[in-house]
Amino acid sequence: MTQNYDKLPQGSFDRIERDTQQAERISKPSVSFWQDAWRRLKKNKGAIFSLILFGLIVFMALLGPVISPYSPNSQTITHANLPPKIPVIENLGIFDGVGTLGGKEVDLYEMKNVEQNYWFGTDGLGRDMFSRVWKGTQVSLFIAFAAAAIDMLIGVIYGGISGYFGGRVDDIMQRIVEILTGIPNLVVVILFIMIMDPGILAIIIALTITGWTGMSRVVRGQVLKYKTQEFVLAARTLGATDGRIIWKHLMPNVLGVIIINTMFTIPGAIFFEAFLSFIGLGLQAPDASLGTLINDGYKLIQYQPHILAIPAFVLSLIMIAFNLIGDGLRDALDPKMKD
Amino acid sequence: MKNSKLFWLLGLVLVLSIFLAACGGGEETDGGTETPDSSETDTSNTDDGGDDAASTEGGEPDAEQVLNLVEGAEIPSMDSAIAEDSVAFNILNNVNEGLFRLNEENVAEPALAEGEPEVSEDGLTYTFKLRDANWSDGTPITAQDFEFAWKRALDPEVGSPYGPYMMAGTIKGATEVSEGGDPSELGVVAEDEKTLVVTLERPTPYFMSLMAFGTFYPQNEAFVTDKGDDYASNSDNLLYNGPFMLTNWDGTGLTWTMEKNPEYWDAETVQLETINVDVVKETSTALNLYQSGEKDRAGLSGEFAMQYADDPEVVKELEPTLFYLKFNQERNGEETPLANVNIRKAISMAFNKQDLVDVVLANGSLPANYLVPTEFTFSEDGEDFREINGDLTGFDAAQAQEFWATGLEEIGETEVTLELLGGDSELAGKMDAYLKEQLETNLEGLTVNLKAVPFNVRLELDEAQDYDIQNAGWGPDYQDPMTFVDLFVTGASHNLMSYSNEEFDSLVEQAKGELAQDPAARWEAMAEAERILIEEDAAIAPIYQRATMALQKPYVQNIISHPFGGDYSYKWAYISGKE
Amino acid sequence: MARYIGKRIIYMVITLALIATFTFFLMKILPGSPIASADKLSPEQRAVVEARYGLNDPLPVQYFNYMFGLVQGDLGVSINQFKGANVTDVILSRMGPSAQIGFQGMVLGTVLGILLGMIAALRQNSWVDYSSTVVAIIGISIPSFVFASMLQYFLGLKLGWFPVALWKDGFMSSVLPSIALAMFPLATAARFIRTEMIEVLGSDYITLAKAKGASGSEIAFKHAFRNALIPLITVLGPMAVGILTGSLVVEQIFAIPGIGEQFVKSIMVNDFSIIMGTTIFFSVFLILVILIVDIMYGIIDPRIRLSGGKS
Repeated sequence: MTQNYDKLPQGSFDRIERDTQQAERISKPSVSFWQDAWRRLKKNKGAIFSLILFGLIVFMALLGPVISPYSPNSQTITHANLPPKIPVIENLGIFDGVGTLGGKEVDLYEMKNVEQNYWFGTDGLGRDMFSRVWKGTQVSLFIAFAAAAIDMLIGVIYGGISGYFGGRVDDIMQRIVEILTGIPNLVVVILFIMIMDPGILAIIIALTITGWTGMSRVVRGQVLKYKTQEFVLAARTLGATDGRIIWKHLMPNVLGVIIINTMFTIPGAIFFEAFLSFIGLGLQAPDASLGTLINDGYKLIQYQPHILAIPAFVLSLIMIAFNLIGDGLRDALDPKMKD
Repeated sequence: MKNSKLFWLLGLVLVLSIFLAACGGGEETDGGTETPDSSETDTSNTDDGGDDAASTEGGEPDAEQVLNLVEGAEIPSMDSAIAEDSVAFNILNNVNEGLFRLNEENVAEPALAEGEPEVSEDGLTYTFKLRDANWSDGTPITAQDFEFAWKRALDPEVGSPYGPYMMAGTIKGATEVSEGGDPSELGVVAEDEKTLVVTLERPTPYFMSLMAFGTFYPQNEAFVTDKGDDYASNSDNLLYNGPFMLTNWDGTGLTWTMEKNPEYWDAETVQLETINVDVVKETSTALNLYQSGEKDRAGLSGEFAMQYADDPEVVKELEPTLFYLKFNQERNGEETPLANVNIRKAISMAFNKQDLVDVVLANGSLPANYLVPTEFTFSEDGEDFREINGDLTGFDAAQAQEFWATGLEEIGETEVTLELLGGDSELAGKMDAYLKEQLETNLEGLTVNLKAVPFNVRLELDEAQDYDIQNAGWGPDYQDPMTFVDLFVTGASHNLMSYSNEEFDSLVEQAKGELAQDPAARWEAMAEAERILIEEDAAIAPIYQRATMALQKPYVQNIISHPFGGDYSYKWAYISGKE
Repeated sequence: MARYIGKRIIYMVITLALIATFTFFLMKILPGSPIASADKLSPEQRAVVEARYGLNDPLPVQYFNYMFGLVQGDLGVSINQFKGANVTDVILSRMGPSAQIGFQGMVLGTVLGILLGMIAALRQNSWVDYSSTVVAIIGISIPSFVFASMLQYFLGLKLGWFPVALWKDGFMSSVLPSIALAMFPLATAARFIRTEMIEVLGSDYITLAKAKGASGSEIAFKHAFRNALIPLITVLGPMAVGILTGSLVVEQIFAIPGIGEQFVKSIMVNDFSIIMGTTIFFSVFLILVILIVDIMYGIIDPRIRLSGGKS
């Protein structure tokens, strides 16, 4: 290949000086780890969709009880057990207030002379399911987030310290965890709820009292796995402090597992609350949570399917959203997946 | 990558199967039946109190005489001295027998006793003659077996809860013996093998019905002593003298069988050969087993009652069990707002009981405006005790508000917050939520906080009087209005709400003492006491009298339900018309 | 290794003693009394009944009596659930069915979950991946009592493939409960394996193996799978505990004479000796699982040194 520099148009190129000062300069704008993660997360359609979906659920949980003309606990006993009815959608043949009565399909709203529309129907005491479902979602999410946040905080700190420092510290800390995990959490949770006055706070405390040990074990396992790897050794050789190694080198690697674990803690917490309703230790009536609503509803599945179906659907949406967000975050936060 | 295809397939099958299950769920649910938001008054089921099943006459026993039943809980103990729960008393009633037994009309009739006992003039001494009957191992049942069993039930070493409860104050010397006194002082003597003499503390008109209760069953001393700690630990370590024998019970399991007892003195009456019982705690499971044909009877509790209300196989039974609000007048040494009679009256009138039984319970329960249940006790002329007083209170929002205003003024408050203590079952939760809403809507300035706790926690709070209002229930221990009226005497072990009314106390005392031999006057006294308690003092607010609903296969005939003691008798039951 | 295990067993005993102590005192602050008919008794009569079960002694005396019995292997007698029955007998008679459905559910769930997770990872972002995600989500978004009653209703009652409930038909009786129990481990395993496999598949040594011409299945099983298993093992322990919670629900719905089913009731009715006995039994089981997990951890991942070993 011949290079005819002379044929190049004049002025197309500038001649630059070689500047040793500039050789180390980073030409792209500096992107922090978190900005980078966010950029990658945005590319994941499922995760973004789930984020929006989840935002919508939170929004409805906060707004639903407010926009409903009925409060979650007010009873109109003559309107008990109505199926859902929504004004416009009813023309499509769903949510039209039709239920079966003695084997025949009838518009129960007409039969009972109910003027109002209950969007999600009513329960056995004539309470509006729309406001109850959203109020319940609010309570369930609150319990789950509070429990997961506490679990994560304690678990990560505890597991991180134990795994990183190892030796005697690890030994002692692990003995303590061993005792706590050795008591079946079922026993602890039930005992604590029975001892404290039942309610949201009791459930959160009972859930977290041993719940964090799972997180701490996972974090410790990961820290143990990574701390002996070469990049940590390199960082240490270069004189990085313990704090810097934990925060800058280990954390990003462990984060994926923390997030996935949290993604399981949250549904786990919602579930445990439902389980507590099943054994009669859930929220105190008349308060509702998704767990108590589902527990009330599953007995009526052949008779009043909407009482189970709607809260179960909301619960599933929350689960799907959490899982997809979790996946997205994991991919986004994984430092090995730079692109 | 051949393996991965297999995984694909596996995964696909799994996904599909789950979706199929989920979709099936949607379709199936539309097929269920719905009952109207019924407001019909259940007057029809008031008359099937005791003889519900008996009324369905269905011909002669023909098919295999096997009955399959479910039970709601395990057997805690089959030792008649230790038993204290409905499961054990129910089985005891069918595998054992006392001097008397409740018959098909729920009247106590001689069983192991040969005819009515001789009663002394003063009504204090009963002389029973025993019939010739044997234990399941062939040894004869003697009067000594009764003496031994009753003394054992009072022995502090045995730690029986029902022994002292049933006998103290009734049988002479029982209180002392239960606290460690000399057992030979007890007013129970076996004069010879077939003669039992019982001396009472005071005349007790309902003593015969007590004799049908499990705690008063005999036990064979030689057998009990021989087995020692193992006595009653499983079905082989027990002796039976009733229509059936318990078999296949390992002491902790969820399953047992009752087989016809060939040694039973009245064995020719017994038609059933085998009764298979399994413990099923979930109502939905019991219903599925019923529908699959594995079980012949399944109870319908809570939510399920409504779903099956119109099913032709439903049987309803009105029980003499009353639920009521207990108003605690003194909590932690301080008077509560409930010490004010107008406040109490206001609350007791401020909730709609008819709606409660129709919509929330929907199982045939009756709204109660009384203490002593209807269809429970009858005079010698067959008149229901209920007919003396009729309704003593009732839902009346307007009147409740008047009482409420007066009450608030008297205690000098405009707002009152009260705690409503209730059970932790689903039904209890739903009912308490309903009561809260009713009370708060009808009584301005009232806030009700609900507190749901397990049964034994409620007992403890009750005992400590640490509650404001309590949703409590009571079922009779013997067939007399006294089992209810006696609860609220000053200082009674069930009062625990600082209710005290001298007039009430003295009426009850009269009914127990000087009027004991004069049935008519005695009833009048108890009725007047009931009126004072509810109409005048509103010490408690009756809510409803419970009914239970069950599905029962049409081929099951003649299971008799009882108002107290064991819940059911299978002695007269049979199978007819089963393919 | 032997020294390590020996040391761990000594810790186990200490741990158990502490758990017993902790549970004992926690239990004693439970509200309620184990005497079911307390309301029917006078205070004197009640005292007599309580004395029979040693409930009147000062707390430290009760504690030492209990621990003394425990050391001798005596778990006491049930106070009200199975009056007078030996707690050891109660546990032994109830253990079998729980162990069977728990084990079957765990194995079924884990195996299927691993398969599902692997397929999903190998076919990332395909419809297989998405369906496996959906299965996993269904597994964790339907409460076990809803799922169990649906199984009972459709497969038991409607289709009649399996017994509706009860523990009478041997293995067939255990099928539906095991499936119900399998859902949670299935979902958990699938998620963990998928995550880990994707990570491992992206690592250099897999690229190297591919470059060397290793087949797909060789890569999946020999290289990726083994590494992906490690974090799964960490959650297997807690998962075994999760099975306990689930088994309680499943046992109740299928009317199986298991240990979980009666355990909650023992707490509700304050049957102290049953609560203690069952807690200790569960604890021994749990601690053993954790020990096994730790040992397996060391075997599977040679990078982790067991802390007791010579370092």
